[in-house]
Amino acid sequence: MKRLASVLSIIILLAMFFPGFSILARPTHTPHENPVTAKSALDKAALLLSYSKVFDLAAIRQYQSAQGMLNELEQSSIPDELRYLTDRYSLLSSQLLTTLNNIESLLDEASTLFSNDQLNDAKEKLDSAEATIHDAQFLLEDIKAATNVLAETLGVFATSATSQMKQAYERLEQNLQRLRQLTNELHQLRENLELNPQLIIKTRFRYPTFLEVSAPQTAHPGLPITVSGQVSSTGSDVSRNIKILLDNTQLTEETIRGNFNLEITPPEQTTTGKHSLTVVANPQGHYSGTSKRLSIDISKIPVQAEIQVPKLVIVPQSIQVSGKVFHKLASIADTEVNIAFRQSSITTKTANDGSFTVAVKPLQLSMLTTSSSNFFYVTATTVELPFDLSLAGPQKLTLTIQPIERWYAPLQTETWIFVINPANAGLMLVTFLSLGLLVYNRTRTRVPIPREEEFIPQPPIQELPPVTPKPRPQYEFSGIRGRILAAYLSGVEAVEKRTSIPMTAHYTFREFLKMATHRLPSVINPFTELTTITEVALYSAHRLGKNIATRAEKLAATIKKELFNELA
Amino acid sequence: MNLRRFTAILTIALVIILAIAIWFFPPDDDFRTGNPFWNGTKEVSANYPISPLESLFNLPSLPLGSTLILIPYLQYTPDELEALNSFVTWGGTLVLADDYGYGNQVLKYLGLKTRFSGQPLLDPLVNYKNKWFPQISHIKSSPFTSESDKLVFNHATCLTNVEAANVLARSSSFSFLDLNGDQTWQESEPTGSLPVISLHNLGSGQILLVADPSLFINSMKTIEGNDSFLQNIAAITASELLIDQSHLPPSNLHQTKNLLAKIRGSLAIPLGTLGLVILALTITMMPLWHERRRH
Repeated sequence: MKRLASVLSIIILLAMFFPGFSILARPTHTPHENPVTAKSALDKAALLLSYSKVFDLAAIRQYQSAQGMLNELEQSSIPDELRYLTDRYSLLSSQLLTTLNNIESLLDEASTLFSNDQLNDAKEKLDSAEATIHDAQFLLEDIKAATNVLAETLGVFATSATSQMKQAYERLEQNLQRLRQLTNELHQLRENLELNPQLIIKTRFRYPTFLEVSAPQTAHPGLPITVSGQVSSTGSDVSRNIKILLDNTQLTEETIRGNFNLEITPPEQTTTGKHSLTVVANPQGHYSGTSKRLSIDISKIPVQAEIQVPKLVIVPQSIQVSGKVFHKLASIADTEVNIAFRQSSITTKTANDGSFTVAVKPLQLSMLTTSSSNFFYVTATTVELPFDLSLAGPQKLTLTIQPIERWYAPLQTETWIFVINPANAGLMLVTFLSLGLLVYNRTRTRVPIPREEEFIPQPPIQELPPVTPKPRPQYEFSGIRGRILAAYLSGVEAVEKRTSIPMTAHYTFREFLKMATHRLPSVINPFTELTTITEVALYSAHRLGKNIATRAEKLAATIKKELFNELA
Repeated sequence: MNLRRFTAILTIALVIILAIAIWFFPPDDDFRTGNPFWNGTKEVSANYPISPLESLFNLPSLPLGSTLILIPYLQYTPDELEALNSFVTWGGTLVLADDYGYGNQVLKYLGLKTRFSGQPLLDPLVNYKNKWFPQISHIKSSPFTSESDKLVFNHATCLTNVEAANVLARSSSFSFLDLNGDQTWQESEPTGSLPVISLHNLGSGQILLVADPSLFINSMKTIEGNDSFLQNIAAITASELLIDQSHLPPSNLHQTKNLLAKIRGSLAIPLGTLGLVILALTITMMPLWHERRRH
């Protein structure tokens, strides 16, 4: 018991500590959480910081990068109650960026016009720049007000001075201040240009570039397609560098002006399926870069084949296989056609009209191929046909077409020919006939010997020797109890005679009853009742009535009668 | 029935019931192909012809056209690293998806400079539900990223030392690498558009680095363009598409299942079956022998 307890204790301890060991093998960070049960949460400080980053870029005159960040913010997961506010804030910021870009563009144009002595036009541009600077100042005021509303909605003012949100807000304020400084600098630049027209100014604006592209929705590896489109931007058309990429593979690079039609060829090794065709207009001078991505399905042109083969062939008759290989537009010439029959194969090439003819002579170990374009040109191929025991049945003929051009899809088609082999059939018939005759002869010559029935001697039924019960002393019974006992003894005598089981002194009433009724099922009920009455009479303190004695006598008589009837 | 016999019968019954329960209960380990729950890859395996790979020594001998998805959550032996090197060099495509595991061990052996940062990439704004699910929308067109304009990662990291030409996908400009684990951006922490997927050529093959293996789990499959990404991986695979299961930390359930599978395997061989029959006969006949001995 002690041993059992200690073993159980060890097992329980191991079970407690063992699951912990596997944790040691796991990565340091949680690898993932269930996205269904993950809770949505907006990082308010990060939202303020993101605008701060946008203005930070604008303050260093990187308007395009700042605009890119604003565009990204549109994809942010902001709750609906804040979405309106952030959308308006983003719109104001975007307008400010465009305005600042325009100011630089106008100043640049004014500078160019001054250098070309186009003073009136230059003055016009400077006036426009002045108006745009005013717009920028108004926008900055609007953004300032919007920042306060945004901060109030986000609960910035309720937080402590050291909180992240407060720090992000202060950072945003600082960057807005830098934008104000930038506006003032641009205003100063405009005034300097007005006073000193020969001033060379450095600007960092960008003209937006618009790109329109159209290309076929499907293309085939190795077959050229034309991609057309137009590149335009503010001002006059300039030469632009255009690149076309299929996924990340550059297919062509050209310098174009305005409209373009460029031919590209998808590489032969391009896998079939959906691919991306990207047209990129690179940034150039003050013109920003842009790109357009289209989805293109690269597929192979399906090849079709018409085949003529006989439905039934009796070996060694040759199999004439002919046909034509084509696609939806025209026939395919000079394409390899492989014909496989059983375990052999033969290859031929299509003629100019796409047709081919092959003669297959099974069991003759040779195949002839002819080209329909030149019937005098015949090639003989030796093919090792395997030993075949088939008598008759359908055999598969497989035709494989593997075009040389990569834009065609290979084709494999199957057809069934019913082949009868009379040589094998005859051989099998002769074999079976010989066997049949042999069996018939053997069965005729042997005369069947009738089998004697085996007699199994049955042991003689042993009759039980008649047992004469020992003479029982004669008792004188009196009273009701006496009558019952006399009736029981009378019944017992009858049973003893019939069963040959003597009621000896060591038997109880019940034991004798059990043994006797086992052999005499016909008296089970009366003898059982008589035995019970006798037991009651002998051992019970219950006072007995006359009717019980009468009943016992009746039962004894019934037993005797039943046993007598059985003997009779 | 005495106590000893009762304990023995109870133990055997419990062991049998537990074994049956363990055998039929599906595995719940991360990234297991048999796991139908949110963190498994059973759905992915069912939708695409992905076969689980139980040992790197069972990699195809002709790897051209085959793709292996590797989730390196356990260390590699030099032989295993050599097997990976051969697989890629001879034309196989290795998709190495890691966040906080042993991906850098593989990269170092293969001679690539790029590394997995191993620090959490958080995006507080452009995300799915919260900052732990960064949304990846700066995607360069390639056969791997075709038709998937957005991806969603789950507790990801980023790539470092990667050439711009190799980058296929970047996180948003608002994402950052949480170096100190406080889940907020600090001045010293890298921020901006960080590379998360890159493609590298090695020998005749190529290696696609993905800074989050959770992209492949059942619950992430249907989010944004994740499914298209998997579809693209399947599409570029001309031959076998395999997912390594040998470098995932095994849970107790998995280990027990393996043990039961080994027992079943050893019983399936003729010698094992014979032993089982003899054992069954011995147990059945034992009461009779005891009875005879008593008499």
